[in-house]
Amino acid sequence: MIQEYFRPATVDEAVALLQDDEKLRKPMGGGTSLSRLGLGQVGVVDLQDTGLDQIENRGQRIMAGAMVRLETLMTHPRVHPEIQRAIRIDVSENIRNMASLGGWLASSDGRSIFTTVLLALDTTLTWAPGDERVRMGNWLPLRGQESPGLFITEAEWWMRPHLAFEYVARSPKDRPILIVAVAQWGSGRTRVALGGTGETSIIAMDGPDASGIDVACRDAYHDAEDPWAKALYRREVAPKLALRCLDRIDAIIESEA
Amino acid sequence: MEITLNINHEDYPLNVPPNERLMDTLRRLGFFSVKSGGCEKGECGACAILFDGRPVNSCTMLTAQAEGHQIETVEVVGEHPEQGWKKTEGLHTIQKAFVDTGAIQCGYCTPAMVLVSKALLEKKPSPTETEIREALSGVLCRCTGYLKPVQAVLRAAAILRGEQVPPVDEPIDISEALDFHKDSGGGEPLPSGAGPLTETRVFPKLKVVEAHSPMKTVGHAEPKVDAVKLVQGKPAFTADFDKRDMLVAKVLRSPHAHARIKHIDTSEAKALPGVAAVLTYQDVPRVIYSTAGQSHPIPGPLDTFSLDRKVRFVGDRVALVAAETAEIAEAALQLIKVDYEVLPILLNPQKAMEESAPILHDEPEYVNFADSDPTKNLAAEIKVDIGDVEKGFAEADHIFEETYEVPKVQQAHIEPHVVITYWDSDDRLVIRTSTQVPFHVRRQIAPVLGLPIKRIRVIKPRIGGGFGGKQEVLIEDVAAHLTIATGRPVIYEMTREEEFIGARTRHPMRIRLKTGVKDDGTITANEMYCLSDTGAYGCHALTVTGNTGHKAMALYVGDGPYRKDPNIRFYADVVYTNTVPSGAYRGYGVPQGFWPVERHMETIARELGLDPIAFRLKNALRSGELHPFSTAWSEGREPKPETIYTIGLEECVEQGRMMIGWDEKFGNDQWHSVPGKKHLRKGIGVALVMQGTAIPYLDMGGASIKMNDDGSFNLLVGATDLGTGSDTVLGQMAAETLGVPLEDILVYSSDTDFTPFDKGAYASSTTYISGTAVVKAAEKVAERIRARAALMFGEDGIDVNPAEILLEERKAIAPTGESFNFAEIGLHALHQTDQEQIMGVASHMSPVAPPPFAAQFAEVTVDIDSGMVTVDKLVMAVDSGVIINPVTASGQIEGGMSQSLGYAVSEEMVYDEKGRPRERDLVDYHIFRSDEMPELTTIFVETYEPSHPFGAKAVAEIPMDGVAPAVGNAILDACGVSLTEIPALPERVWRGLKNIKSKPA
Repeated sequence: MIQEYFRPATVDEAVALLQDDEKLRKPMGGGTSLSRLGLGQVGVVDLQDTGLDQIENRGQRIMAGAMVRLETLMTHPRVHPEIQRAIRIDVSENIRNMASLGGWLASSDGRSIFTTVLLALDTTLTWAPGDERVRMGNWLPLRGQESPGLFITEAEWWMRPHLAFEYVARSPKDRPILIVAVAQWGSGRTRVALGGTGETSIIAMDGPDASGIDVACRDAYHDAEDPWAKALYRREVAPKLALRCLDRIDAIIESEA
Repeated sequence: MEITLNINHEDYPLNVPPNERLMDTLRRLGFFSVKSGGCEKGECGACAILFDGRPVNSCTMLTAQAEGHQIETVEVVGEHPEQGWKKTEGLHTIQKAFVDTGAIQCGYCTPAMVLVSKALLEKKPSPTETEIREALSGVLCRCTGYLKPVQAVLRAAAILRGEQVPPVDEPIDISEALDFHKDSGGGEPLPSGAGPLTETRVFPKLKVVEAHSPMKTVGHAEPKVDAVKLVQGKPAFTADFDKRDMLVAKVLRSPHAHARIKHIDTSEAKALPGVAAVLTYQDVPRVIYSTAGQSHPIPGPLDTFSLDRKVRFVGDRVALVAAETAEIAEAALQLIKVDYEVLPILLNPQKAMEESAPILHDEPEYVNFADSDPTKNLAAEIKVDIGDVEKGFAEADHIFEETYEVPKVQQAHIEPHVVITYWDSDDRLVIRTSTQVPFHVRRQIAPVLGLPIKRIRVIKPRIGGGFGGKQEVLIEDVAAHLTIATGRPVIYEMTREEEFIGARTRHPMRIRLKTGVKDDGTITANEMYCLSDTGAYGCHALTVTGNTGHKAMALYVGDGPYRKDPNIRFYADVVYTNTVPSGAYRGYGVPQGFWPVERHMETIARELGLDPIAFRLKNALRSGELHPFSTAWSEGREPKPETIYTIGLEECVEQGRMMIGWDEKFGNDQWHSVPGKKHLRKGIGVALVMQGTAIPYLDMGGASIKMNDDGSFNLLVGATDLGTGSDTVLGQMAAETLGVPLEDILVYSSDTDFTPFDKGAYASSTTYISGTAVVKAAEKVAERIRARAALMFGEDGIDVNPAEILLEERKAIAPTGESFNFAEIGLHALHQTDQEQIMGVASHMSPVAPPPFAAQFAEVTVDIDSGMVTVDKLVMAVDSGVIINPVTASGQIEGGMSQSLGYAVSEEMVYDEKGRPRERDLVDYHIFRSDEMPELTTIFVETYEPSHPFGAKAVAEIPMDGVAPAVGNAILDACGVSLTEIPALPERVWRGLKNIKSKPA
């Protein structure tokens, strides 16, 4: 049960509140599910006034503060249309208006397209205190076990890569059972993230080019069985979707040429 | 903690606990437009508010988070335009549009939708339909299919831009048939950016019957009588009612699918401060009953106790707690210690009758009904033989056999089950409950509580959807036992998780079909064996499954000599398993039956090279023929032969095929491919269906009407409007009969103390049964008005035969043209001469149940790489007799199609090997959002049903029947996969595709 509520005005204040060893306190990003805060006696530290709600360009990367609402992100002109599409499928407008980027990354499971797409883009997360920067691909598998800090302050991802995702669900806005997101840099670097199952999205491939993308998907989904789909299904369908993503990226590159 | 909230532009200094949710604070302050869907992740959106002008869900926010922000609820958006001497600005344009377009059905999600729409239009005055659908996507609606809410927003946007919009109720000369393609645009998508064109879609396509004269109210798109109340978010629902000192109830539920309670210790829970009562099976009377809300005698086994020493599914009740707050009650649940003896579980219905199967119901009190046999886990058995099936098979040139399966699915009404109980000052127990069957609740719960019926009063307020889930005496005993134990008012509201693990579902079934067919396509015999899974208790076991055969197996009788003497066999076993009980769900067994029947018909037609539509029509029932089951089985009483006089099926097929473009698409290879997307294939499918209209010789409804001294009328009905608009259509029929506008009919429904009996809202019976009762009562009132008017004319020296007086335009008009208005007549009757209360009471029971018929068409796109199915278009042409209110009726069809769309492609309840349910919320149990709906089109093909005073038949359930098989047939058409099981999961379709590829050419 939540017993204390704090609304610090700065990141430092939030850190101080969360570092109080005598109290169990948790950061509060947005408000998509209060039950995620747990049943114990906790205090919550609401980050809404900490100023972490900025979006800015940093060279070839875009930085979004952890408290940027998903609706703001989705409608931002510099955010890739595939990211916008991913958010639109994942989250209805009411929740987008409240859910924050940091909260979403901290709590979404493997069935989030948005999280899978950010993973494909090799997103880097910055943590407080200490501004430690951690690649999302390194953090996600350990989420829940080890944390680089008390809370995420910002996420930063590449703007330039071409990006495409495909997914399978029971209906167009249902939670997917299979997600393939492909990001391809101008250098040819190709990074593939998979979702649709498990606690987190996973990286299937990060290579200098797209060769072997189908095999990588098949291998990465080797044991991806859950009550929603068989591993065999995911293994056999994911490569096709990955190749479809590449076709779409090729078509974009061709249209840009 | 001390905070100040700004709500609707006013500051509210508050002291709130840090853990209080904003939704709870707002409701505590009286903002009842903020509704709870019982969910924890904001998935339903009924609690939406505007937060700094943007819609957010208040159930997932702490109240403290809202300090410093602007909160708006629907209470500030608009209000009733007429409040006596007080001048108001009336309803907001958006609210008026929701009222006018029929966008409100149960109204539970309406305030949220209004707020979302307001936010959108303030930001974007000319939204596209896509943008509107996206804006509404955070508010789930289980009633409307979202079409009319979208139209409402388009209409409001146009009005706010200053554009002229046409009236919703376009003047219709109902003696003339409409040109179906006049305003359809040939099925083309609507232009974006709104505009007057879009509003014309509100009125459904309607081919009118010529058998009756033009009417003033019946046949018109009258706004719902409760719409103004609902669009303002007034406290109309059960949980909106507050009582001083009310306790909150919670239920401890079993973690095991099958177990005996060896020991239960409630001492710590009882000792927790704020706990008022903890009840177990040791505390309440051991009275066996059925929770199925049905007429006496209950047509099913009695196999349920309020609390038992045995639990039979994960989610079964173990203990009841009442406490000062929900948090304390939940904490008390954690303190109850239960020692279970875990028993072997039975999950597979095919093993239920095996000798080695665990027995679920070994209680000695079990009361059999008909052929139920708890020693075999058999809740019901049905054997119906019509004609000589074996002879029919012998006469066939081809025999087709296949096994089909349909899943367990949930009604998912947005308002959870909720009840409030309290003792009134006469020591009578008042039960205010969200129920479809208030009179059955009163009768059935009385022995459970140890109270005589006369000491119980059941009040049904507005209901936030039911769909059969509330045709159940499911929750009333929980609160009532706790009120009896504590003497205090108690509220019990199920959470969304409880809805999934502890309420009711549609019966899953495994169905074997065998059909004999001649070379020319004549069906010679049809046989169905149905294994139906009733879950842990046998509520509705017999009757739901009986309807599977009674309707689905009745449509195709065969042609030629087989028409007169069809050969049909329907056998069924309804078995217990350790899963949440199945029960009533809109369609009541019939959707389960039409999945196999219509998939089977498609297979037969294709394998014999016959046109699938012609093959169906060749064998389908025709006007003047006997309902084949009417001589063999009835849900209610002994079967009696019943001739069906009105069947508009052929016309439905013609109109539907034109609307969807069947002739251009079916068999057209080019149409089936999608340019530039090799992995996509398009397909088109059809299904013909029939339902019932009430239960003959059983269903009864009553009505009473009294005239007031201003010439208005109170119409009291026991019929239960659960959001369908039945109060409105009943009012329309009364108004038409009395010659007044609908606004003069004040409809009050369902209070066992004040309204006449009605069986309740089920079996598609209200318009037909209760409607006829209303017309009979209105005719009695009309007769008294004529007599009173004749007396008044006599006082003026005018001699008039009462029978010659015309009631029209709120007046009684003599043949000579002189008239008295109804206000004069009301005053005269109540205050002046030979005073009397002009009133009429009547009831109705029908010896027949004239079926509605429909042709359902579907268009899909299949991804042949992944098996993902996207339904693009649904067209339903329906013969529901004369349509009393085209807008509310089409809302029923649109909403029903949307629900059955989920049945077709996405909805199912799955259990693990320990009987633990996978689906516990509306995230995993996905119901369609507004931004993923296919195009929906409704066509009404009227027939005039002679057994109803206005020619009406049922409309509410038939849209559940055809979507799944039409989608299944469209998938077959698209990619060759012949599904036998729904939902059409991507993996299921993909496996079908793999099988096709692996077969040798």
